[in-house]
Amino acid sequence: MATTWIKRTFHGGIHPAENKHLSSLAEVRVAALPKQVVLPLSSGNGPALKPLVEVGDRVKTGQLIASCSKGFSANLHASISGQVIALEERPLVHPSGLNVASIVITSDGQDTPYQHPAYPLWQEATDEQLLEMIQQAGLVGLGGAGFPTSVKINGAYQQGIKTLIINAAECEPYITADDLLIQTQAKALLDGIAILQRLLKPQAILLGIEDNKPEALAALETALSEHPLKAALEIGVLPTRYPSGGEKQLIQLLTGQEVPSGKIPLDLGVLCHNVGTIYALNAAVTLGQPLIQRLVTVTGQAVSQPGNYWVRLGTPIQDLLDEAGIKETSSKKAQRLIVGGPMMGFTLDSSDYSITKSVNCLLLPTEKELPLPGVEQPCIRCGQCELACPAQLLPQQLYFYSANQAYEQAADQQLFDCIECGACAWVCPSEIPLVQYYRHAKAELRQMQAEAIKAEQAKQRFEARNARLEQEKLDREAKRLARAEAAARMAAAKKAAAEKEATETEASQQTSQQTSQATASKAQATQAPKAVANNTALLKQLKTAKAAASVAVRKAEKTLSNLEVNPDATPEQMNKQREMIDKAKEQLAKAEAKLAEANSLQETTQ
Amino acid sequence: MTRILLSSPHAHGKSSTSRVMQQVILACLPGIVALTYFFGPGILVNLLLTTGSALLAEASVLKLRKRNLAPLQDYSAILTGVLLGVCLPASAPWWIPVSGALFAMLAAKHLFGGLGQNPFNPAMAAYAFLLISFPVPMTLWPMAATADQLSWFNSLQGVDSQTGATALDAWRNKGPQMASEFWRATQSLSPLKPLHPAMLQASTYIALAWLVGGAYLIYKRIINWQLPLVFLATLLVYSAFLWGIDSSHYAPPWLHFAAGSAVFAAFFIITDPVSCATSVKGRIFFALGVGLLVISIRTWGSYPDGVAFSVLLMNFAAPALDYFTRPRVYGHNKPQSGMGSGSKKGEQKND
Repeated sequence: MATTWIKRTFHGGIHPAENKHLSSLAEVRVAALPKQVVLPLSSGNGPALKPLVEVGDRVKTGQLIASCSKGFSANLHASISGQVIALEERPLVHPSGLNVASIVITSDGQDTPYQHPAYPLWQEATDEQLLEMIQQAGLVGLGGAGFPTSVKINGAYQQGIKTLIINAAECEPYITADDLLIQTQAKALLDGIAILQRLLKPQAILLGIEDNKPEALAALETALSEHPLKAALEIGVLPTRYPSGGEKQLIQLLTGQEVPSGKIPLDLGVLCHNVGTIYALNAAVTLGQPLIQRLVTVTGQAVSQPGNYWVRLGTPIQDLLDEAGIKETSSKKAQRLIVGGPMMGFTLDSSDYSITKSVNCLLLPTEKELPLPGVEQPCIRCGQCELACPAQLLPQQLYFYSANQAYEQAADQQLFDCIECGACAWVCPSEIPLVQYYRHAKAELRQMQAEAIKAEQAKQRFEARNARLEQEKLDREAKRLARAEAAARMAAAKKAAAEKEATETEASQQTSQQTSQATASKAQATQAPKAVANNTALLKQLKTAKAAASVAVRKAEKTLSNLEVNPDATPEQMNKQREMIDKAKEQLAKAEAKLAEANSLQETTQ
Repeated sequence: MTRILLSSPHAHGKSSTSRVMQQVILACLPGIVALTYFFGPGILVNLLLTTGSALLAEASVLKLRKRNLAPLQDYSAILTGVLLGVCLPASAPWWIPVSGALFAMLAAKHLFGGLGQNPFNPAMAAYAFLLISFPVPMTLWPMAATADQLSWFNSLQGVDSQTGATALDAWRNKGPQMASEFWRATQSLSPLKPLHPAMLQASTYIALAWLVGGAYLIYKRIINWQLPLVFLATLLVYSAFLWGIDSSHYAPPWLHFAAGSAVFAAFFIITDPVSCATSVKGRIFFALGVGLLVISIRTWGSYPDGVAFSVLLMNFAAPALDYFTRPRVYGHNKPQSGMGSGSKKGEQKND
């Protein structure tokens, strides 16, 4: 459509030194083919992939080597041709520095491509085929988040979207990978957007780019003037202000809408993709190339040849640093290797890691360039952080609650709406590491939540156990009562038989033995009170049992009503409880019947 | 090779607490120069005494609390000393600035935990303490200099200098007198006239000097422009309203600006972030409240100027202002007010 200069703003934001010229002036280079690659089977979150190769297998470049049946993680392909030499745990580029199972491949130096089964031209392919191609290619968000692209696109395809947003803002200082990608691959990028347009049929396609990338903007405009997308794509030029490339901020800038708290952009009918992802998607769909390489910015004043490099996934970071050249000028204690930008990137303790799908930048600053943090001073509530916060939070309040371990109050101040952009810490005159406090508080709150769930489960288990024990006790009591009843009946029958016998004998011997009658009647007289006493004890027992059964019914019903009020109760729990009530009622009915029987029995005996 | 691990962000802006304090002290210079010009070197002596005692007090408290002495370098104690010093009469005996500074640092600041923890503005708390405890030396100002007679030559020569009523004091003491009579009396040549024109002239120039310093702070983005603007606008509207009702008994609006410490407070006192409300909206209400209280106290209170009391009263109200003025967070429909049970309500709504 056209290029629009966006006048809308988001709250706060900062202008850190951009330092993009360090890497943006150099030509894009292709990094040397690595001798060995380490490809992790997990990205640190989401299910791990299942390896499809074994140690010793020969693989070709682009061959599928690990997949996920459920599709929540992205497929993994060999980034070089060669031999699988190990399937073992290797450190992963992740803030936690954890080790994950990885596939290690040594190169045969040939880079022989794997022949993928032919797909039809994308223009002729069905939607299902397109989705399949995207899923197969192992794409993830290349802006840094690394979320599987096919999951996002499938969701968008099923739900339908109104707006497709292409994120080319690249607001983090230093990073220029997106900038250079647009400058060199504008046409391919537009093709990628066209594929998504065909697949998702959005009403609007918006591309957001900060105004500090005039070359990229010009390249886009030139490519767009001869592209079928010309009528559909609208380029929004954003005033340079960190963090305009944050997903929520970009949506706000381009559409004026805010993503509701706790929701995702798709709930607004918006799908956001980074330009790097779109480029990889185009390569996957039009050329059948899976994701095996990415553009990485290597920059910082400690780098001799800063610039952007096409790097095969799994390339050892040390190899890339060797190629770019490192001049360690700062003191030993100030040497840092930052993955990502200076605002949101994380540090690595060494270069013994490998490039993953989400590494967009390696930053090696000198001490002078990015000084080490100063001593944390008390907060003077100057309010600079509030003016800078793009989420419109009160960072100093969050800090007070987080630092004083009042985590629930921090959550009440919407701590979880914090996007950890670091703008507050950047402006803070007291150099308080605010984001660190927020991360800690968030982790504590998550921990507390997990513990609360565990405690609830333990409580339910305990109650279920008590109910089961109660039930068993009732069962035992009922059995005992049944036995006692049977015994009583037998005694009664015996007695009746004896009486009958006695009367018969009496009748036959009435005349002959007068004295024996007296003895018999005497025996009857002693026997009758004994039976009555026995029956009274039985009745008492039966009454107790009945009372216990009715208590059990009432208790079970109460638990059920509690469960109905409790929002966390699962249907299974409710059903189980209902069964328990039925059982208890049955017991009660049984006990009542037995009691009635015993009562009538007693009446007859009396 | 081992590299250090640090949490993001790795970049930091240029601002620092000590730089903020330095800038505020720098912005006080025009006001100090004006005060010294009109009221003599007593002002400078006061400033030396207040800043010196403030620093000493802070150092000894830090020592007693077994803390690092680094906070001494953040200029906050010096700033408190300066802000208190410029409020004190130039002729005050030495123990006035000393005890004031000690009160500011010990009672108002460190009893609450030091920098950033004090609920009250230390300078204003100390001023109120001095005004209540020693009302006579606190209201005795030397006669302001005029072009032909600089008061500080007198004081240098050891001449017992004349004292002069400040403009607000004079206005307060005029009693049921009509405004026109009052102004006529000030123009008379009688030595018993209620207000010497030199005093009014001096306070006007001093207010202008503070305005210059305040403009610098806004230009340097040390303070928000909203606070002084709201405060001064409140003074103007409220005093104009009263004056409009009865111009012969209520002070004209210009007098509220030209006399007393309103302009100074607008830029240097109510903008103290520590004891102020937190959010921008809260701070606007804070300024509004101080403005209303200042005019009310000046008009009906028993003290000629009410800035210190107004600021302290609004310091009390700051937590309540925070409670009611929480901003709307991104992605939420409504701002959430309240501190405690709010989250539960909110969560249920979200479900």
